[in-house]
Amino acid sequence: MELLEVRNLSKYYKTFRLENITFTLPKGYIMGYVGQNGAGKSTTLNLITNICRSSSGEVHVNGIACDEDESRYKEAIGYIGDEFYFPDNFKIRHVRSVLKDFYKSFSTGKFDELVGRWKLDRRLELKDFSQGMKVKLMFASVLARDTKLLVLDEATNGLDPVVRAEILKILQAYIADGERSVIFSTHILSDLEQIADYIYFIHEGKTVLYDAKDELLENHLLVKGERRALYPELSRALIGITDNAYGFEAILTGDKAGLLTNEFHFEKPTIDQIVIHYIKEREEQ
Amino acid sequence: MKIIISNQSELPIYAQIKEQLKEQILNGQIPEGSTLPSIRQLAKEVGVSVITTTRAYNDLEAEGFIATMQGRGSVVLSKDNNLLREQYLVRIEEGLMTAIETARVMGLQDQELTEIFHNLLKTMGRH
Amino acid sequence: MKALYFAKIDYMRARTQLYMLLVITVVVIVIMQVGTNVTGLAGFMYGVFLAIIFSTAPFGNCTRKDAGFQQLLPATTLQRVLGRFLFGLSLLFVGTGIGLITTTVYCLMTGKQEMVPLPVCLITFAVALVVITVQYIFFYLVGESKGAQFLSLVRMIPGMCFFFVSIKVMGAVQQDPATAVKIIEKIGGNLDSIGWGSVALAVLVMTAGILLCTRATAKKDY
Repeated sequence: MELLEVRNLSKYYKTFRLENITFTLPKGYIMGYVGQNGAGKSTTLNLITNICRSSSGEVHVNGIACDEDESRYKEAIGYIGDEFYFPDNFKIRHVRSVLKDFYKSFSTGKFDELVGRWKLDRRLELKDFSQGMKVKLMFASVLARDTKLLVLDEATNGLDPVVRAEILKILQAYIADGERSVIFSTHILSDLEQIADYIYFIHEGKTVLYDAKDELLENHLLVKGERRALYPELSRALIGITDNAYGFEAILTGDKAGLLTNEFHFEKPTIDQIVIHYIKEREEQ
Repeated sequence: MKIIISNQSELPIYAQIKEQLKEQILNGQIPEGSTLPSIRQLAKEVGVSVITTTRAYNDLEAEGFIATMQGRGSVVLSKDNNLLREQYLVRIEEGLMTAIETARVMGLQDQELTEIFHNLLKTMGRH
Repeated sequence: MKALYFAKIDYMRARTQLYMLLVITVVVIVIMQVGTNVTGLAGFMYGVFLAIIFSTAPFGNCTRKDAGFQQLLPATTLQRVLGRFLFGLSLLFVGTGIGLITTTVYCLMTGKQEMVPLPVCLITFAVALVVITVQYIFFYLVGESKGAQFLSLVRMIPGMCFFFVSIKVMGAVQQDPATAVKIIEKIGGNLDSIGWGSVALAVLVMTAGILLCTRATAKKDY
């Protein structure tokens, strides 16, 4: 059963075009939405949360489109942005009161528990919160509700490793019952890479790769070697050849592995390495 | 049960999980009949993706180490089942092959090798 | 119901400014005691003027991300816009109330008999409601999330205009009551019905404004 379905989603701005984003995310899985700054990650997520309206295409969350029932659609989504979105002069009690007014499933008990556990100061105005506290408050506001889809836009940016690790655990616990899913955008994978089931990778508004993470990792090789050992057929097959003083590095898809002679060294890549070389390849075109 | 994921390993993560579980089942650290943690629980504990642990379990099931039953989770199968027996035989053969190869390298006669084998059987005692 | 909750958010966001409103009221009352050429009416006008200025507060301190936060809440565009108008309308009631209180206090303390007549009260209310509606239409169509500096400047203009024009009109009426009476007779005679009529008209304008703003924001990006 698909929890999130995105079909031919496009958004045209004067200076930027996000084109034909299409994917599905089944219940109980995590998707990493990857790309450089300005690649269109936030735009895509804003279209999913319906903060922005698409130029064309469709989004369904738990089977319904936003046009069909805006309230139910938005009840099902929990969003945590790269920017803190609660008004600066609010205090925690104001946030609590708004959430209680608007969300049927909001649990004040759960919210208070999280606020207590994370030691969020009830006396402060939110503008005086540290970045870590702000992110935690957004998480508390979302986790105190019964949502189906978590949308995280660069949510762990600027957080210390301890909090990041804590968030990873939270996300895994969130999907543990197999009924709920997470989509997060990021330009640095590292820690988030491990827990992602699917990777969607965009560059300048266009899809580059979309697959299960394990498939991506298995179907690519990181190749290293000396430039002069390269021959035309292999050069054409290599993706994003990067030179340094002593040799080159590139990515090769698994089906072309036969082209490698024993002059070359190859190893399993990380998602970051795959991403870097694909971007390099695109930019040379 | 213990699982250690290494990013330095050349093995993909699913294979690391699979191999470590297999090892522990074969040497009896995970007894037959016991229930493994659910796929989602294991993913959460180890901090890897659900697809990764799913794949490890699927492979273990295909190789006859575990059976996943609706509502009961993944149970470690008895060593008597055929698939698992084969796995054991393969391991035995592998071990013997290493011994034979080493023997060939040092030029040991087949006769001498079988003697060593029989002696060892005697000293290690009957099962 | 959700429209009311949106109005509540606006009140919570503007709460510090609203405290200021109370302080200003006290100041106004004090000034009125000292000033010689002010009338009780000026106090009333001042209350309404404050309401007009403060009614746009939710736009003034509204950054792009704040607006986005309200977009995330499960509700329809109509409920969002309606909530904002409810905030404006209720603030106008508060302003009118403060105005009346100010005038009453002024009358009690100076012993003068200058209570605001009902028709003046109604017409002022109606004009203020139209001004607020026009402001909201402007902010929804062009200004929303345009940056605090720009907004805080624009916000002051309509209220100022309202205040000075009304003072001028009052002055003109006092200087030449005969002409004023003639104009009123031309329109239809009965002052009370003119008052109620203008309020009804203003409510119609506001309703049209709500629909216009809903249409305009339904397809907007935040």
